[in-house]
Amino acid sequence: MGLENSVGIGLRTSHCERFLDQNTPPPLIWLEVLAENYFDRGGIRHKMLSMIAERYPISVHGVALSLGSPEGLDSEHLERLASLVADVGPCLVSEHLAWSRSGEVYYNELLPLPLTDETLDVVSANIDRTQDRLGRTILVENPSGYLEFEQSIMSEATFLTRLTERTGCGLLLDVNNLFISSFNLGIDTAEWLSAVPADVIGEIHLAGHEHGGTVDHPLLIDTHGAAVTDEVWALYAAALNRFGPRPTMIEWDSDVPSLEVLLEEAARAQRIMDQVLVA
Amino acid sequence: MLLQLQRTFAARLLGGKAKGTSPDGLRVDALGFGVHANNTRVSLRIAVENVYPVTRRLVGADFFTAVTERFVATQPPNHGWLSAYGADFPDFVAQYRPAADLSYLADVARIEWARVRAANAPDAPGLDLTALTRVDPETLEGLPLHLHVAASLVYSPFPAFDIWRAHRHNGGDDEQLAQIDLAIGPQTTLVSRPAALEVGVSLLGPGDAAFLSTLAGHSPFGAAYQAAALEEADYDLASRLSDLVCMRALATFIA
Repeated sequence: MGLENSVGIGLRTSHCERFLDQNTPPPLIWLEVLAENYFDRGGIRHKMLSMIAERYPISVHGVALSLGSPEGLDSEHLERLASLVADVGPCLVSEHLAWSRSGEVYYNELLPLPLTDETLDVVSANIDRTQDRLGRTILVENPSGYLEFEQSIMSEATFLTRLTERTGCGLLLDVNNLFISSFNLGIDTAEWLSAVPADVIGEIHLAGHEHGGTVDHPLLIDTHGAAVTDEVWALYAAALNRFGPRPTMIEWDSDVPSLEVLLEEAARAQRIMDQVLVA
Repeated sequence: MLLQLQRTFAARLLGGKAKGTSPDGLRVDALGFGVHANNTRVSLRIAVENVYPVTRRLVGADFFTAVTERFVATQPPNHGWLSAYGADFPDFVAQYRPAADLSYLADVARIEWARVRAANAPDAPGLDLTALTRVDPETLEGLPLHLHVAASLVYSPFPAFDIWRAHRHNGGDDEQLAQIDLAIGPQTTLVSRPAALEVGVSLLGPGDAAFLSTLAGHSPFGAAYQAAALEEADYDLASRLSDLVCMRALATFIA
């Protein structure tokens, strides 16, 4: 069965045993894992994932490859990602438009990039190297934005579209991130959705956010720790209407709720997708 | 240009300057920068917290946050996968002045790190006792045996195992800690992966502790047995070996 019209969730340690339950396996078609959690080949986590991967198609989502690093990729990181991809045979592989490493330090945060020709060269070269090593294309996710660089000379939609043209990669549209960037930085969501070609969108993420910043300068903060908001559901419907149905994933990885809560969120996304299919 | 921009940006992520200011020379929104700096600090701190719940319980949340913030700022990770991050935390705790009174704290942290190590270690077969019985006595005497790749020994001059055990669950019991006599002498803890999906933590008797630590120090089987017999005159090698093999303390050997 193809994943185009289906909704998955992120696999979290606390739910692993439910997915190994022979009698009442949760009714989901696919699952997404955070790549770096499985970079030790062997051990308990890797074993659990191998067992779950026998039953569910797996999407591998990287958070730390640092595609925006002008220093180039960490070779050992890329090798470990390649081993995981070889072990799991994922249906999708994705990463972020971000950097998270400088010199010898890894910052564990998706840091923002100025949208320039130089950045386009750097990210394209790193994507090329990744895709060459993995022997497949990857999807690149739009960031949640909190600040802008005065050096930027193009819009995010233009930058991402050029990346797909240069490298053949696809895009992972995180609807919550787009909503956050729209609120924080004034990105026009309708313009974003119309500027990006439909055929490059390979997956959609949905997640929750929180309010932060100050009274004078409110900011939305991407937390992956709450339910999807009504505005994000509405933007999701708009994205599906524009791009068509796409494999969609509920991303909730801090203050992880019960599996039932995640299944309800997934069911809600599925209903929205089914309406688009009927229309 | 991008390289320099990132260096400037990164230098302030874990740096000690006042919150709410952007990096010198970068005209970016200070509040927005603050979100990234906060995410960096908090996410790394939580990565350490997740590994050391018992250590955290022993010192309380506020004290632990202060230690981990210091640790993260001075020893940030070098790789994008964090399974090895925090290995140096017990040593950091050992020389952290405000914790100097809690002399057992670093050893409890070492037990916690050994559990992570055990969980993430590669799969490898354990010692096969039947194969060992086929080795002739003379060869056996000089046979090097190694700890299993998932197994660690944690020696402490304090009852670190008892302290760890009393606090391993939430709502850790201060009364139990009060009952632990810190002067009862040293404890050696074995942390291993007895089954594919299981981590085991066991307190070793003096004979087992001597046996395994002698092997871990690269002395052969004969010397390890002698060390064990010195600690426990009636050390029953066959039955002890069988228990240690069940805990998968030892690696397979090449005769």
